[in-house]
Amino acid sequence: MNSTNTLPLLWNTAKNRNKILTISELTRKIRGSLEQEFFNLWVVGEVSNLKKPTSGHMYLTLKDTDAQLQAVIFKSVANQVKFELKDGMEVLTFGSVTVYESRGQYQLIIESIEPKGIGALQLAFLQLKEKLEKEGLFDPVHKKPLPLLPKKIAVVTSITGAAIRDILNVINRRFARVEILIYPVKVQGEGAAQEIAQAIRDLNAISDIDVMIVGRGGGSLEDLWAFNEEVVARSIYASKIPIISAVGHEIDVTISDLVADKRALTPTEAGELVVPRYDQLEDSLVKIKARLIQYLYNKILLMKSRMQGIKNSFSFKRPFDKVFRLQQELDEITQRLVTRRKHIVELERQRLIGFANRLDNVSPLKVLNRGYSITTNVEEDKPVKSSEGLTIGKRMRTRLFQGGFVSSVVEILK
Amino acid sequence: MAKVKFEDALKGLEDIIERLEKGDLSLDKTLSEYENGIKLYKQCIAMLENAEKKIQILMKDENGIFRTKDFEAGNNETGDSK
Repeated sequence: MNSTNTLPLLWNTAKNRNKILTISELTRKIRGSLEQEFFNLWVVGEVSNLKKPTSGHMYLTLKDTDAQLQAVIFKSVANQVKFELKDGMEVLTFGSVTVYESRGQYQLIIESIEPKGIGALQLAFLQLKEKLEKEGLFDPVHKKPLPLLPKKIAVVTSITGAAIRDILNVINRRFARVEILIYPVKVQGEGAAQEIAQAIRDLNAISDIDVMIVGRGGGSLEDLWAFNEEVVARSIYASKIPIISAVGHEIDVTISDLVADKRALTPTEAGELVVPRYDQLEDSLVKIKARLIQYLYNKILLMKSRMQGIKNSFSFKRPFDKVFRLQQELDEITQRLVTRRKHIVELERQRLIGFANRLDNVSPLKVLNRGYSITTNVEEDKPVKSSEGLTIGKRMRTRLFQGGFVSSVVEILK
Repeated sequence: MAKVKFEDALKGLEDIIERLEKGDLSLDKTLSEYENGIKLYKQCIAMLENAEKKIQILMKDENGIFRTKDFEAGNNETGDSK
């Protein structure tokens, strides 16, 4: 080649053969340059072509109308994403650009991702709510009634939190005679949801628990998050024991609240829902009993008028008087129950039991005890008051104090 | 006493009242309803009476064995009970 020819010389300067790069070297240079330039960026775009292989990493393309960008979310980050990522979702991501050398592709490594225009937790809540709702987990038909008089109440919460304190306050205020079994769990932070779910399962293995309270005191959405996790929702749904969910304050609605058999607005309300109102229960029992006695009273009256044949019998007057006196006493007791608010006076309770015994004494059975008997027509089961209408051979049934017998008529006396 | 739920006993009582007040029952039936009513009433009162207050903490050890210990508000480290 001629050295005076200027063209090769120029060519040599522009393309210095001493600087030949391998593909790897070039790629590494590009990578270094990109990584330095495009480091810790916020990028907004639409998710498309999302892939979630079993490795746990997620691959996607971020795009807008004119361009697209490959992106990857590694497993450790993907596990932290609370909401479910879907194609078509507008997202805001934070990360750095790098080059995937073996393919010669640049891509965004996403370190955090959130839905655009709505909080990540808020979206996660809505997504899980929709999913579980479709599965029927919130359906009222699955909701179990709370027991009227629970003996043993389990509480799944933090041992040092406000919730347990509030619940115990209600119990003390009502002088409640219940057993409380506290199952201490972490109520926020890593692993809290798993602990709560496990506690619910464990308690279901214990036979004598009548009702369960699951909850915690107030906090931020992040603090309450364990109660929005699917694992907790599933264990509440699977519980055979009725569950009251009591999370945070009135304004905080969690997935747990929606799945539980009953939602309490606060832990205090949970206590109020579950701790028996002894005074009210006693009151309604006494009222029921008064009706029972009233009915018997009426029946005795009726019997008395029917059995005029045994007119001057002292025995039939006595139960009548007794019932009357009993009613008066009941009225007094009921009056006292109304005025008495908090304390359950042991003496009165004993009296109530005494009533039951005394009531036995006025039963028509006691009349029978004195040697009277009641004869009824076998077919109609009505007391026979007159020999009129009887026929020889007719079968009659007689009730004695103890047992009775069936006989047939052999002779009729007018 | 057999394990009867309070609400079942209460429901039983209410049913008896309803039958007594509605139907024109026979004498025998009236007596037996009345007797059952008193029995249920006594059961309900007994259930109210028999309850006791007890507050315990449930703890699971590393082998998955459960223990309970008494809980006292403000001091949750009281002696073992079981």
